[in-house]
Amino acid sequence: MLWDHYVYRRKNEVFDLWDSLFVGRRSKVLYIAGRGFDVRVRSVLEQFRNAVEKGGYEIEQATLLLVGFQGYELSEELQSLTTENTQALHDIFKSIGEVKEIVLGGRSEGGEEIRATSALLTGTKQVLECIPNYTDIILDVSSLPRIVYLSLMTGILSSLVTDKSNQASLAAGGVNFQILVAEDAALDSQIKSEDPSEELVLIPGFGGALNAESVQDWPLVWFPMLGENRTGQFEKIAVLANIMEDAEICPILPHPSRNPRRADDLLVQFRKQLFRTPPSNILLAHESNPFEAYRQLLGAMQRYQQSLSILGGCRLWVTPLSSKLMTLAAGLACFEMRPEKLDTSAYGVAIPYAEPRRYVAEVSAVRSSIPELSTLLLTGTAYED
Amino acid sequence: MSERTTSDNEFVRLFSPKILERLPDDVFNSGLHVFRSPPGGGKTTLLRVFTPAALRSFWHAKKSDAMEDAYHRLVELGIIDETEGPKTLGVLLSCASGYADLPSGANFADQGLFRALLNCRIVLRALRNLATLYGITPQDSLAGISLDYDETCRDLKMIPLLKNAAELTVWAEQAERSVYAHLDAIVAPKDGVLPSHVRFEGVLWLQGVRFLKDGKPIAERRMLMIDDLHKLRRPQRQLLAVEITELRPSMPVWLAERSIALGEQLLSQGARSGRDLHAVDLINEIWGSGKGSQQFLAYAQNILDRRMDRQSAIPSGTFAQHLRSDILPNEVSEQVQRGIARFNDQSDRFRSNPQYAEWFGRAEQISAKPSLNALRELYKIQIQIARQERKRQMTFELAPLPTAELDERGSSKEDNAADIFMHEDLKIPYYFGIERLCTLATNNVEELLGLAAALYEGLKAKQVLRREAVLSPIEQEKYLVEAAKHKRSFIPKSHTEGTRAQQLIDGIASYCRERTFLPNAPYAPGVTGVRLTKGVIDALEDGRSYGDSGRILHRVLCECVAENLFTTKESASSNSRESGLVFNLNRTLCALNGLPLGYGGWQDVDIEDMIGWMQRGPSFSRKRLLEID
Repeated sequence: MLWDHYVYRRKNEVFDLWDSLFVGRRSKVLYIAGRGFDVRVRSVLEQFRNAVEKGGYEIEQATLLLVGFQGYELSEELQSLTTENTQALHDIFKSIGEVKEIVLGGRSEGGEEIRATSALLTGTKQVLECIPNYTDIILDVSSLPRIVYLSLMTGILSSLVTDKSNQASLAAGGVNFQILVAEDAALDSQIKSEDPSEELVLIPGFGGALNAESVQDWPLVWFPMLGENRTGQFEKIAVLANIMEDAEICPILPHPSRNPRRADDLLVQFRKQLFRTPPSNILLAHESNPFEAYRQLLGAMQRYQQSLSILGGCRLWVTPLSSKLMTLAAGLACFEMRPEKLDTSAYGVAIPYAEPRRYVAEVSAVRSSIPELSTLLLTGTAYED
Repeated sequence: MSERTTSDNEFVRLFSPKILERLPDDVFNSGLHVFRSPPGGGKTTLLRVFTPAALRSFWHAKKSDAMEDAYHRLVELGIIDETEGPKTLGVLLSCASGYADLPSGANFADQGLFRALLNCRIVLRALRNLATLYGITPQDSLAGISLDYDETCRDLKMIPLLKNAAELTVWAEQAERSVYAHLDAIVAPKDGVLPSHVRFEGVLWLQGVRFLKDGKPIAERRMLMIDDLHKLRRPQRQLLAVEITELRPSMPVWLAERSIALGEQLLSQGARSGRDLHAVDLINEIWGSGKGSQQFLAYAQNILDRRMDRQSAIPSGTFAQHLRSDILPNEVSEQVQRGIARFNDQSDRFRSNPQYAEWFGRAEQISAKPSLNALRELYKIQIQIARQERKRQMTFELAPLPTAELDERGSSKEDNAADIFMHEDLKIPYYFGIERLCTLATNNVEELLGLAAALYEGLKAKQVLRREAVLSPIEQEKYLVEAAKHKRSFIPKSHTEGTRAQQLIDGIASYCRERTFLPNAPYAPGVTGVRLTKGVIDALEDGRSYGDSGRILHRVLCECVAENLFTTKESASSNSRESGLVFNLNRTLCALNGLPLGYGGWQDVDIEDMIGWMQRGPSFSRKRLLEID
């Protein structure tokens, strides 16, 4: 298990971690954030900038890479909030560094809309091209769509962690890669996602296990991480990915959770979809500690892989429909399960997802959000021997 | 029912042979055959029948009464041999397996990668299916199958002409793996070269290879079936259709795709119908018209009955047995009284008109014996009065109208209009009985099962309460309308353009209601579709005439047709009007909006109305429906 020991900080501990990473050390920071309507990204960036200025961090170079997206349908209010957000992010960051922007999606030269999977691959490659020369990479997932931050996280990890069999490789040549999350469960539950895409989106690097003909006869184990108001997406994915009735479905529910009944409530919401699923298949994962959730999921995947090897192998699919922290946990587990050399070893794991094209939210609710900041330090000096 | 989500044995048990009976024989001839239907229309079910696992299940269950028909049809078609078992090697591949995510470009390398992936998958699936066909596990036994090739295979360049099936399986697996090693690599390998094939050799290989087991040829008859063609990108679809057509396959090659409205049809993309390929519309050609719709009824009932046999929660029998098809007098006596009173009230102002004296005389006779039929007659009289009133504005006749005229003017359309008016006014059930259930399914098995499931839940509930497991018309309508509500509310959650589609449907439904519930029922039994003229359709396809809104409407219409929310029918030109395309509402959504279920009633609408509905939903009229001016 790569992150047997891990660095995870919440609330005020985050600032202590930043101090320990940046004080007395010359650094070059690449800060990646989303150019979306979610104002949480502003509060996180503001807190980081304040820490930089108050802590007197010696930052030689700082770049804010804003990732924009096309193909989403937003109300006019949310569109203007997006514009306002972008301007605010520029303003917040200009005192410590430069701002660059990239946009995912759009249309190809032939006029066809670029498919989400291709857009993600292109976007991830663009971001990876920016990475060299930075000593610190910060990925703020607060206003990034799930598929984007999963792609960026696993992509950046692939380029930093070259040998997954060796825990020491998490040192990543001293490059600190941390993920910032501003979690506000109340706001998340108020952002409604509609109009799921007709195409199955695949996180770059995780396509083979879904599509390869050679594995189609293997048993399928699907780990959907359940979240509120996602039954439509769940069904859509089950149809698009052609999940057979005889597939082993292992729903992952948040427990322990702030709301002790949350797991039960989710089971009630998904009662129709999970009618045939035996209760013994349900996995419980920590709602607010992604590394614990990662351990649960990784352990389950490894056990299934081992047990089903007698049949030649198995297909492992993970679909995160839950909170940001749990989605990150899924990303970490999948990253670890993915074989390093696909041309010689079996396919590992796939992350099928149906991305909504329309988000609906009350602007007042978005503006009044009071998020809780967390950080996951995934690589860098903390993991050196 | 599909198709791929149930086990093979379950699939065979639930499969209704009716679709095989309706399938034209020539689809088994060599060449390219394209099957089209909306989702849930039966494409994948049909294709799956010819896969080895399903054929073996049919063969093993040949003595079962439930499967006898399907088995005999397969024997008749030469797919299964009565003594030796399945003889046909069906190779089914889905285009949903990531082809659309291959690098997109019209360049040779990108096309070559698409061909390479399809070729190695044809080889791999054929060899695995061969093992399934003969009931042997691939790992153990493929080594015992040797391969020989006919002359057509001699010039294969990319697929190696290996002599052993196991070795060729290893080649195909490795070829596929090397494709994904490249595709899944975020940082491209330095030494890697992407596989690239110059043609779809898999087709030539499949028709030219000879499989030998103990020196004897096996699986000599082949079929290649490629499903979900709509999942490919447009250039990929075009490439596949054109190049496979050019190969002039000597075995049947079946392509299945969703119905696509407004252009982008495969046929228009380089292949000519008739000589080059044969298109089969599973809905319109097989179930759509004339006897076809009766056949769908039989097919649908057969499917439901097979499922009834597989459950034990309620007493077995046909599904229809559990749906009461007539309304009992005591169930609607209150509505009948109310309806008569309403007739008297609404027609009071016409009583003094000598023209209607005989008609009112008849109405009084009818009212004396209140019943559902009597009420229907009163509604028909009311419709005729409304029609006469409209006429009277143009003529000036005072002679009493004879009652015989009422009979002459009446037809089944007026009966149906009266029924839907009674439903609208008095909530007398309209959506009940097995025939209407099947009609509500819009010739779509998946929708049928969804609706039947809602009724089945109701039956189970009655069983739990120890009541007779038969649903009354009122109960049936309650469950069906509930299912329709659920379908509508799920549109934004399950379709890419769902929100706009929902608004457009609501707008069209509202318009149809306005036109249906005119007191004189001018389009009896009602309006359930709208028509755009060919000129407008061409302009929409062109994409330039109506700006962004037009482009979005085009996209929404395409998706609605592809998802069976609308069914389309071309309307021919006449002296007074241009030809066009009718968009009929999905019948389940008709039930939600209280509309009749017959086809035929449509109205021409402007493109501006359609765009307005799509953007804002319906604009409700303040006028109460069914009120005579």
